[in-house]
Amino acid sequence: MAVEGTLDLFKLPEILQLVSQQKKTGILTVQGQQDIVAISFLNGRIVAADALNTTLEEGLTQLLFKEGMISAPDLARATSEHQASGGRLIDLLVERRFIERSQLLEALRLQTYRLLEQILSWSQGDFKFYSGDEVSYEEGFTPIPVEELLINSAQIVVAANAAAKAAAPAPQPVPAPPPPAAPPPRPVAVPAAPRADALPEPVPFPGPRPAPPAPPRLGAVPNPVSTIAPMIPPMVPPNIPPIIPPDAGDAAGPFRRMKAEARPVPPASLGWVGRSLAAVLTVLVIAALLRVPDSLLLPFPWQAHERENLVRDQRAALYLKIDRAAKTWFLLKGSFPDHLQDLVAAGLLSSADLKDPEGRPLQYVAGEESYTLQPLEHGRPVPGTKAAEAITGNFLLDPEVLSSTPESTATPLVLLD
Amino acid sequence: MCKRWVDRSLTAGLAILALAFLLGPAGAAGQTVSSPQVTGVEMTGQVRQTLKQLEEQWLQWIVQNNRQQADRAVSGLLDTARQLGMRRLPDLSAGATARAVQSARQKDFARARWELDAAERFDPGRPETAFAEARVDFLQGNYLGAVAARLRGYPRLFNNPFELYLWFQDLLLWVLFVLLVTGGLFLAVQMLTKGTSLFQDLADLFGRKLPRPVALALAGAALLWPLFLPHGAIWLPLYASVLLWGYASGSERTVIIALWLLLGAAPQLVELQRQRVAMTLSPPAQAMESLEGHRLYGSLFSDLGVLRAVLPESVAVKHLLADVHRSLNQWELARALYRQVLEAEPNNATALLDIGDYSFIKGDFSSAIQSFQSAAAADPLNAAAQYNLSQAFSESYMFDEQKVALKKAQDIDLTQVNRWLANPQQQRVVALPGGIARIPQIRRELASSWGHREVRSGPMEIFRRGLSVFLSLSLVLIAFTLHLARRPFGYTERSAEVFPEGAFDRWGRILLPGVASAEIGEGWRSFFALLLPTALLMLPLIGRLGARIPWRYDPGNLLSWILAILGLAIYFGVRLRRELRHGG
Repeated sequence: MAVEGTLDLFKLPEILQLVSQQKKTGILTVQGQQDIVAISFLNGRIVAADALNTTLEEGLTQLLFKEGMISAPDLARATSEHQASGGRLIDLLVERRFIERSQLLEALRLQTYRLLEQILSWSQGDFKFYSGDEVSYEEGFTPIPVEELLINSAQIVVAANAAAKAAAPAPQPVPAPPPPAAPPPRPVAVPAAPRADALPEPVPFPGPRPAPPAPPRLGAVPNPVSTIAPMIPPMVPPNIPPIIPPDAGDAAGPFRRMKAEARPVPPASLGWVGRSLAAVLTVLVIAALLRVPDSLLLPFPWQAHERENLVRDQRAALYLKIDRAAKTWFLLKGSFPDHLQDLVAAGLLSSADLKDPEGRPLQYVAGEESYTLQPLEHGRPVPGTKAAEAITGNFLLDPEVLSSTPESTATPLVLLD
Repeated sequence: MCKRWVDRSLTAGLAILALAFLLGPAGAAGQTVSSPQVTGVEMTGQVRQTLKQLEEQWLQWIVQNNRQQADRAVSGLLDTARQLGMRRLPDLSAGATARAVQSARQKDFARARWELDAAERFDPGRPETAFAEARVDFLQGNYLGAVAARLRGYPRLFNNPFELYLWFQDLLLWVLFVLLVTGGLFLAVQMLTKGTSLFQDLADLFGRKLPRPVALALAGAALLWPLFLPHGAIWLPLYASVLLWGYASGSERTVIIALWLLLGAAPQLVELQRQRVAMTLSPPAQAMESLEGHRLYGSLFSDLGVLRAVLPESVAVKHLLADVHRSLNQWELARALYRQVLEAEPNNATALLDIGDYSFIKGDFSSAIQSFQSAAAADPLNAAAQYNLSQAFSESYMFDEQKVALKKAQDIDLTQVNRWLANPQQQRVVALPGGIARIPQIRRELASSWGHREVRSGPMEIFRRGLSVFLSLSLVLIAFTLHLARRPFGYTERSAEVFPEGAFDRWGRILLPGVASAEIGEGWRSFFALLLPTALLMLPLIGRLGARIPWRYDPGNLLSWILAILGLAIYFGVRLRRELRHGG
């Protein structure tokens, strides 16, 4: 899906809000008079921004240098290495430990912020939104909520206005900056933010949820919000249009003229349906694994023959294990054990070996020189599963093997099949 | 199994009787031979006497109360086994192991120790001996020793091909189970994140013409109806996966396709694996495995009898049995079988060599020379043929020829010839185990015979076997078609949050891996997030889901429980830490 239009019809904040409200994933390109910027969205949050005139890497290295996070010799060395080896310069900076990855990510976020703040003032140009399933972005990048960006931009404008007023030759004193120890407010928690109740919940990320903007640390890249916010009283910015959700506007308004694919969201009251269906599937899988594991591997109705074969051979393997244990017992005691539990107690079997592969208990009946095994279902032997083993043919256990009378030298009887 | 046993015995009896007829004149000529119906293969009185001696020596070992005397009994047993060409006694090792644990339970730890030593001497390098040692250490209160012994036991698995093979096959089956269970849980997670939207869309569809309550009920029924079919437990997840296709992202769809293909291919893999395992566990395969390792166990000869019954016409089996008879010093029986091998394979160098050995032992040096020359002609690079030829020339006072033959042997393999010269065998001639070397060939023949017996043929059977793969491919088509048909009507967006904000939100994310990734449509991440905890949870089932390994002393699955619990604790601990760190 692609949505397009011009900036004189739709202001960029409105477009950003629309993408954010609908939790879109895709790329928004904005072509201004002097530059083209691509903004990547993941579920309505900004995860990357890049400009045609100044690439991300160029901007980022400039920013790192200006912020004093990397020295000029280090940058020169990294640049020459990068030219020699190829790859991404920012990866090389981290690999060579010129900067920490966390610093890089913070700088990247700041760079993205500045680029976005720059284009928010554009009033002429075109935009186009390409919807998709995935976008590429720097791993670990903390997504920027559109609302946070708009509020911070508004605050910067207010601050700029205040600074302009302070710079003007007026008798009023310049307002003193706040004490440095004051904790910076979190951007999303600005109390006077318009329609703060309508802000979407943070989009979860695989594993841990994305971290909120970190408070400023000594030596860290200053967060634009945290450095500016303490100086600004919370108020609705005058220069930014109010944030209006698309549904709340006039039905015949400009948003309706866009061919945006609006997906309805299911009501929260139906949330139990998904959870219940998931629970049903989970229970089915676990029950199948514990009760009839062979049906997981051979699930289809026409595979009954294969299932039978599989269970039969698994049972045969179990019987072989029991046979070895029982014959070891015979070797020591001269008889088969009275119960299979005796073999478990002797460590020759485990307690799990007392049940067949389908979880049915085994009936064991020992004779003088043989024994039988058969699974029981509801207390009754399962037909066709009986096994009888004996000491016959085992020269260590069967005295008959070695004490048999030698054959006569006459021609043996031959049975012809 | 009982029926199979009876069938097996009957077939073996018939085949052995037939073979006895063929061997009759040779066996009858020199010595009395046991009935193969009882012993599996024919045995001379001397061999039976040696086996009887083993039995008696074992009884002597059992009643010993003194370590030195017990050690002597063990040495005697091993010497006796060597007379039969064997080096290991696995049954006696198992008996000694069990007895050691029994002694430890009776607090007679000194006895337990020398019984364990005996077990190790009877069959060195067995994992079971180390596991039993761990048990003895544990009973003695030496817990560190118990851990060390147990850890020593697992690497021993790699020295025992039979157990290693079964363990590896079990591992493969377990991996398949883990992937399929993870796939099921992946679908559950998909349903968790997208099920409500799916339900909503179905309800809206029915709601166009029906009252809302009826539409909701019908939507529920439309989602769950496969559960009420025969084998509904499989149809429901498959049906759900088709319905979820339209709501899934690109990566989620690739996971779903991979799962369908896995489900379609799994039956073929399982069937192949099952046949191989069944063959490995069969008495003939066990007998061959033991012969390769020079292991003498109680039913070795009867299992060899089964092998002969299963492959009565196989030249390789005859060659193998000839080698067995030769190692038992039953040369007459061996010669008859070597002759049968040569009838089928006149240029079989090892059989010619062994026939020559027979003539040499009998003092018929001219026949021996003839056989060795034929062997050398059949295999010019056979050093043993030239070496034996030199020995036969020497016995015939043909010293010039002897020197030439020896020189040729040394030219072919000097090291080996020097070794033969340094350690002259009793018979002075070298015998090559050509039959034992053909065990891989016999395994292939056995597998082929096994396959022919088990596999049903015919077009319907081929169709039936391929049906699961066909179904998998059909599911891809159905899902894609349904999506194309459904797409113009639009899909309801997934609900914003699976877990409502609150205390459960955090715990839900920690305890339900894969959900966070599923919320943003990262299919493979979601699958792999589920894979690790599922594998850890299923770790104790390894060895329980496939064929049980016939351990002679059960190691239990304590280690897998420990690994599973530790692994899960670390996994969820890391998730909790990350959540606390990043969640604020």
